[in-house]
Amino acid sequence: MKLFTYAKVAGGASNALAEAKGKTGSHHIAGGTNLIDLMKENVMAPAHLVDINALELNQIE
Amino acid sequence: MTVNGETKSVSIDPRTSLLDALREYMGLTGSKKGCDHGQCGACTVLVDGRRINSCLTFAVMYQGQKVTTIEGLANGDQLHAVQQAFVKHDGFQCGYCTPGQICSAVAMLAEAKAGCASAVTADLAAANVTLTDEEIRERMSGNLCRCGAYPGIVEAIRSLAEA
Repeated sequence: MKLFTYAKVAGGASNALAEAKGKTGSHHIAGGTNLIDLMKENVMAPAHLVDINALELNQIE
Repeated sequence: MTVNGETKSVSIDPRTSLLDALREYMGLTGSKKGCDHGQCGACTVLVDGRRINSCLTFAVMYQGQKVTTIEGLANGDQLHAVQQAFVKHDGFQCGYCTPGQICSAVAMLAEAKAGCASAVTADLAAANVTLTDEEIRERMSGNLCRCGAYPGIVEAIRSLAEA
């Protein structure tokens, strides 16, 4: 697996977009059960992972 | 992170899966590495009471959270109710999938108690779930047992669902 940098964002969804903006190879991660499997096989190789688990998204609008 | 009630601090590569962090860096080898692709469920652990496949998630994502592994279920020499049920109903043969099966069953019983529906639940809006054998098999379908101890596993879980 290629090395990546990691950041966890909290608050509103715009923070997740701001964190990824301008960074080549950024990818958002929530559960990761698909992405991490693909990363293990080098199918996906994100340079920067933005963890969105702490975002305050708890309702369907 | 807090693992089985103890605060653990490790300095690891961000690529380390939660499973590898538990097994290789914290010495908790109860959780097993079966397929390492999220297909077998042998690595199932509880994070804040919810079951997850620890092989398909990075340890770095769980900073500050509560992880419970098979080692953390028993209270001293007193086995957890699910562990007792597995022993009583012969819910294993070789035992490799058992830590995952038991962690999964603990969370699965809590999910059913909270009224979570499954793919085979007839009435999705029902407040109470009756854990029939079909329901138990569906809800435990993420945990494979190559020995085929399923009848014992279902029996063990059914005994707890009825209790």
